[in-house]
This record gives sequence, structure tokens and C-alpha cells, in this order.
Amino acid sequence: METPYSIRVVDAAKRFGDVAAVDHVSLDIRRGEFFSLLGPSGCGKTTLLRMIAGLEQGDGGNIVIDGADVTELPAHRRPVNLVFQHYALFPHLTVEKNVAFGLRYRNGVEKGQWRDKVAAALDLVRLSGLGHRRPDELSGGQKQRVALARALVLDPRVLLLDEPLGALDQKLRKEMQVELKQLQRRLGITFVFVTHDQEEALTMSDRLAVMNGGKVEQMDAASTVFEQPATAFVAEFMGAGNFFTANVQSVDGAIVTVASAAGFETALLAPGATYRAGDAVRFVVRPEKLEMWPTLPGPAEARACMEVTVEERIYQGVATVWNVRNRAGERMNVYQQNVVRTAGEEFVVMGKAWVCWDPRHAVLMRG
Amino acid sequence: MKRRATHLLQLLPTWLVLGVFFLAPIGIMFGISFREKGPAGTLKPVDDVKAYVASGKFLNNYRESLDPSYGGVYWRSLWVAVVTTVVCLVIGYPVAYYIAIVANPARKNLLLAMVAIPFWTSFLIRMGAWKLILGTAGVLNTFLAIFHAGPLDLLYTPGAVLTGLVYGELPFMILPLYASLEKMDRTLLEAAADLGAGRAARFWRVTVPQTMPGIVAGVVLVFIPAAGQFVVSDILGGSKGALVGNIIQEGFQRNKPLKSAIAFELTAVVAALLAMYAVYLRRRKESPL
Amino acid sequence: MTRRPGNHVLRGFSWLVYAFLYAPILVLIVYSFNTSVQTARWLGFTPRWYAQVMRDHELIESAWNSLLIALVTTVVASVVGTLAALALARLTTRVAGATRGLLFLPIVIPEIVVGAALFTFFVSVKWDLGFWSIVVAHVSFSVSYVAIVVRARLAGFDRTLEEAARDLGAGPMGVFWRVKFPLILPGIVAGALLVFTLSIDDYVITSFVAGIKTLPLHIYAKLKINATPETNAISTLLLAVTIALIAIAQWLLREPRRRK
Repeated sequence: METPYSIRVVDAAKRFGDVAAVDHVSLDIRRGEFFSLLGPSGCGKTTLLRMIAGLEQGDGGNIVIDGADVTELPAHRRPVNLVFQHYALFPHLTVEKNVAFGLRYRNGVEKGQWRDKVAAALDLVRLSGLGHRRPDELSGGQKQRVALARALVLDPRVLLLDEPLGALDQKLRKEMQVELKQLQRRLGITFVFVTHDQEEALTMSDRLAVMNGGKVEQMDAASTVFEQPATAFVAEFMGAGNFFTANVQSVDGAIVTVASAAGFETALLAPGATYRAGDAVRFVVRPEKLEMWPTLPGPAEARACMEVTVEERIYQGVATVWNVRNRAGERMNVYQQNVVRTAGEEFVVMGKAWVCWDPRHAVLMRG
Repeated sequence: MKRRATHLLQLLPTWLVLGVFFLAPIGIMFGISFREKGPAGTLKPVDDVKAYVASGKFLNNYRESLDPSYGGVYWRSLWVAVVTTVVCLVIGYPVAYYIAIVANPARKNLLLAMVAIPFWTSFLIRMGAWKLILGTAGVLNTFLAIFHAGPLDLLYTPGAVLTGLVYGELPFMILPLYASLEKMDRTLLEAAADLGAGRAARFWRVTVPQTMPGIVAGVVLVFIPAAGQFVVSDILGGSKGALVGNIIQEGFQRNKPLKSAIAFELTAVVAALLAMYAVYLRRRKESPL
Repeated sequence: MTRRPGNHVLRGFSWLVYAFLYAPILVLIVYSFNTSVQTARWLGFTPRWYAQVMRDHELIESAWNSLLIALVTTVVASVVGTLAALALARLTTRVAGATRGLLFLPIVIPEIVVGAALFTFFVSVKWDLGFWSIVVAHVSFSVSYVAIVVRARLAGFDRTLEEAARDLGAGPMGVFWRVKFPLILPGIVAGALLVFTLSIDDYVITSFVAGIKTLPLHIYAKLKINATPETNAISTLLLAVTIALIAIAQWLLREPRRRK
């Protein structure tokens, strides 16, 4: 039975003492996709990954890989492989022997084929010729590639990666992100990637799950999580922490009209949600979707607007971030790309300005 | 869990070996220390255990061991152990400091090995060497004779025993001290200097407290063997230099109960010291250090 | 932080201490070639004490006994001690704590007490003193040393290496023999060497439980009467053998050549 799902996690749970590291999590990972588990440290993403790998025994729930329930299977019998955060290369073995380590457990691969398979794997990660070196003679980036090769040489159905780029410097990290993405596309196997860096997750993933306190807050395509955060936590984590409070005035199908605490009225799109007049709601608008205006623009612009006091100007080179505060005391960040050289000079700290946005960019929060 | 069972099984040989050939013997000797000695190295049988205990007879050996004629030996043993420990500490600390901090890092392993190598050679042999050196016709006196000085009566003196002991125990002081010094965070010294502490202040207020675990470990490792010493005092101390260890060994077979009692008194002293050490260790774990 | 004058004093003092540590050994070696029997005056170079040693049957027999005892002790103690260290690294139950305490005892209780206790034990169970009584006694105090040395080696062991091996398909046996064992082997060898040395050199405990002559017993007897140059020769030979063993061990355990 060919399922479209590479991995199904069904109601997985794991406790350490009285802390629920993984709290009844269910998710599906599709075949051939690059899936990321994203969240702050302690959210349970690494624990969940290790449960899929078989290195942690869950306290409940099932792990199904390619249609087969592997929950009771020990780590060494699962058809998945893990790239460890600190590489876990065997210090007493050469690169070649490291990569070849798991081959003897694969039925159907004879000893004579090992050399070629190892060479092919090293080639794949662009480390040919370094087979005789030992781990302590390699740089961080090289060690990481060896760890990759060691896992890939076993032709796993799924590759699990536990924050593999964490120890690399900025530049190398960005290069590796691209390389990993290209590798995944070329091999066509499922990648499950754990990271706390939202930018990294967005760069590489097809879909991602944001985790917090052992639960999944949102699981969607990367762009959806970015543009339409579902909960306050996800909004904050993805850098969309511009929260507006408002009261529902009227509901017309999917269009909800609200009156914000800052004194303006705006209409929001909320398909499928059920709101009634009088409900208290929150919505966010991403910083880069907000615009700074010196004066209130005319109605032709079709913008929602509010008056603000400018509190701080943070110059970041590529952009300027404005910290502003509206009449309801709500603080917002406005991200203004430095497209025009003189842009931003018209706004003064402690002065007044108008912040406007296309109403379609406002996202209603659940909970 | 199957894992637990395997691990517990792995401990079984240890418990068998140590239980039968360590704990049992100690237990038996403990029991013997309450018995009376019989003729020719045997033990007098006890017919009525209750009466024996009630009469207080079972403590006879311990009473006898506290006889003033032994007092001199006990004090001498204690004094020898303390002096050995202090001398080892005073001599060993600078050497450990030199290896850990001052010497060329590339040479550290070699320097450490050189401290450890004497340990690998026979202890008896090294004591024999000291006999050769300190004897009336020994190396030192022969050397002095060239200058028409001496001969010094060095052998069979407390000094000879001390020299032998310090010589034998020194590596056991230097190695833990080195370990402690090596691990020490040097930036603490830099911070102290920045705050105005001079060299002596930095040593006494930062280095010494930071290396206290090593100092304590070294002291324990040196004091205990020194307290129970037997070989050095036998070879270099002669009959006048007898220590507790010699008292126990001499005529053990003939009077097992008495000697066993003395052996346990020595063990009690050692145990007390170790208990203090254990408390010290536990307290350190709780401190933020 | 290099303040020159203080460092020179330290260096000088340290080298004095090193001289103190090695002088007696050098004296021994030198005097093993001295013709003189009674005094320490140098009367001429002679290798005849070594020849005498080679002809001394009692000595050779003692040495052989010591060697055998040490070998058997080392093998048994290494296995038992390593197993204990492996188990203790994982267990946190009270049994583990009790075992740690138990292992601590042979090291801290003075040898004289241990030796006397073992003697009373053998007498009580009517076990005739001989080869095996010595081996058993040696094993009982050696296990702790192996356990400690291997434990230290295990402490620095990276758990993720085991996990990586499991992830790559190795079962429990594979994980142990292909990853754990090679990495703790230097520790086991170090422990074995330590135990071997302690056994070959042991006098106090052996003196209580011996039924046959061992090398230390033989040397001790000779030392007590008066050190003849023959003992110096024996000592020097022993020294040479020990150093050769250490050198071999170092060579066996050498780190592979690295490129920085």
C-alpha cells in the first residue's frame, strides 16, 4: 500500500519527570518533502525527532514510517537515519570507515560494493579524496558532510537532521542551507529538519511545524506560516508580533468588520471562522507590510491607517525598523526597506506619523 | 527492564570477589578482635557467648591495645603521618604548579610521566636504595668521607623513615595537585589582578581555594598509607622506629585477637578521616562552585 | 602571565625535586656494578652481580611466580573491573552507590589491615596458603583500580557516538564491540598495567598470604639482612623490565599521527 505519507506521527507523547516534552503530537510528513520542526529550545522538536529515529521510547502514541508501524522497533532496525547536531563521528575511525560503518547491517549490499558506495557518498557531499583522514583533522563543515555521507550511504527513506548547521559560522551556514536543499531535491527523499532559526526553516522547507511546549502550534506550507500565523506564539516567533486588539462590529460571510482599540475601523478576511458582533479579537500585520506615511493618505489608496508616535529608529542598513506606538498604547515594528536614499528622514523620533497597510495583510489570531 | 538486569549482572563478579575476599575477611578479623588468644596461635573457644559479652571480656584486646606501652608507637605513627603529609604538600605544590602553569605546555606530558615513573618501579627497591644511601657505610657517608666529614648516623632514625615515606608518597601528592591546578580557570587570576590583588594575594585568595579539592585529595592519598606504614619503618626505621603497622605485623600469628584489635583501631582512624573527606566532597557539590 | 624571576625559582626547585626522585634510582644502577660488597666506596666496575643473579635459582623461581601471579591477577581483575565500570556508568540506583563504596574500600584501607584480614580468612576456612591464595588476595585489591581507571575513561565518553551507531544499524553487541570497546581500550590497558605493577611489587599483603616465594618476598628478605650488591642488580633488572614495559605500552597506545 503506497501511502503519500513518509512519516505519520500519531498522538506521540514523551515525559521527562513531570515535564511533557512531547505532548500528544500528531503530524504527517509527505514523501519527498523537506519538512522542518521549528521552535525555541525546549519546545520538544529534538525529542520528537529522536522518537522518530527510535532513540527515545515514547510514553504513548505511534510512529508510522511508510505505512509500517515502527513504534516498537529499536533504533537500529528503523529505515531512517539521523544526522546529529555535533556530528557524532567515531574518533577512532577514518572518514571512510565512518561512512562505511552501517553498510554491514544492510542486507543486499556485499562487501565488495562498499568501497564504491562510500566513494559515491563522499562524492555527493563533495568530500572526495578525504577518506583517509580522521575526524579530528577536519573542519566543522567537513565533519558535517561526513555525517551526512554516513547517513546517506545507507539509502534511507527519510533523513532526519538535528540542527546540523548550528555550529557553523554565518557564511558557511547559508551556503550549506542551499546545498542541503539542492541535495534533497536531487535525491528526492524526505528530509525532516529540526531548527530554532525561523529564517533557516523558511529558506529550506516545503512545509513546517512550529512547536511550543511540546505541542504543535501550526503546521502549514512555509509561506503560509510566515504570512498567516495562526496563534500569537507563532506570530511572535516568526517576527510578526504587531498585535492589534479590536472588537467585532459586524460579520458578513467571510468579511469581519472590527473596531480597533486605536480608534479605527477595518475589515478583515476570516474564511471559516465564526465571529459574532461584540467578540474581542486580536490581529497582526507583518512589519514589512506596514508603511510609514507622513500624513494620512487619501481614500484612493485603499489602506487601513492609524496615527502613531515614533518611539525609536533602528538603522539596519538594508532597512530601517521603526518602533511606533498607537493611540491605544500598542507597540508595533515597521520595517521600511531603504529603497529611496532619503526615505525615513521625514520621520522624527518623538514625532507623529501615520502607519498604513493593505487590509488584506491583516491576519486574525486564533486564541 | 532488560537493560537494568544486564547492568546488575555486570556488577555480580565484583560483589562476589569483594564480598568473599574482602568483606568476609574483614568481618572475620573483626570477630577475632573480640576473642581471646589460645596456645600456639589458636583462639580460645567461647562456650557461653552471652556471659562472655556480659562480662566485658570481649573488649579485653581493645583495652590491652590502649596500654601506655603502646602509646609511644601510636603517637609516633600519627606524628610521622602528619609530618610526611605536610612535607609532601610543601614540596609537591610548587612542582605541580610548575608543571601545570609555568612549564612549556608541550612538555607537560613528559614532566608528568617523570613524576609517575618512580611509582612504577618497585617500592621495596627504592627503599633499599635509601638504605644504601643512608647507611653508615653508605653513599652519603662515603661522599662525606672525602671531605673528612661524618660519618652521620642516618639510618634507623625517624628522619630516615620520614625521608623514605616522603620519597614514596610524593607522586601521590603531586598528581592530584596537578589535576586541580590544570583545571583552574586562569581568567580568575586575571580578574583578581585587575581588581588590585598582588601576587601573594592572588595565590592565597584565588589559587589555593580553587585547588582545594586537589589539596584535600592529595592529603588523603598520602596520609592514609603513611599512617598504616609498615615497609619503610621496617627497612629504614629498625626496631626503634616501629610504627603501628609494624606492631600489627609482628607476631600477628601468635596473638591474632590483640593484633586484630589494633588493626581495627587503625582502620577506625582512617575511616574517620574518610568520613570527613566524604562530607567535604558532598558539601562542595552543593556549593555553586 | 610570565614573571621571570619567580618562574626560574620554581623551575630550579622542581628540578631539584626531580633529582631527589631519581637520585636513589641512579645510585642503585651505579652500585649494581660496584665490586665492593660492604662499603659504598667505588672499588671498580664489575658485572658479576648480574651473573650471580642469573645463577640464583631461588630468585628466578620467585620471579617466575610473581610473573604468573601478576598475569592471572591482571586478566581477572581487568575483566571484573571493566564490567563494574561499565555498569556503574549507567546505573544510578542504590546498588550502584553501594558498589562504589565497596570498590572504594580496598584502596583506602591500609594494606596491613587487608593483609592481616586475608590471613585470618584463609586460616578460618582452612585454605592452604599457596599460589592461589596470593592470586585471590591480589585480585581482591586490584579490581578497584581497574574500575576507577576505566570509569575515568568512560566519563569522557560521548554518548551520541553510541546513538549514532544504533541509528546506523548496529545492535547492542555491535555498538559495544565496534564503538565503545575500542574507545575505552586505552583505559582498560592503563588499568591492566597498573594492576600488573601493583601485583608484581606487592609485599605487605603477599607476606601475609603467601605459600610460595614471590620476588618481593625474596628481595625483602635480602634487604633486611643487608643489601648485597646482588639486590642492586636485581633491582636494576626489574627497573629495566618495568621501563621497557611502559615504553611498549606507550607505543601500543600511541595516538595516530595527526596533521594540524
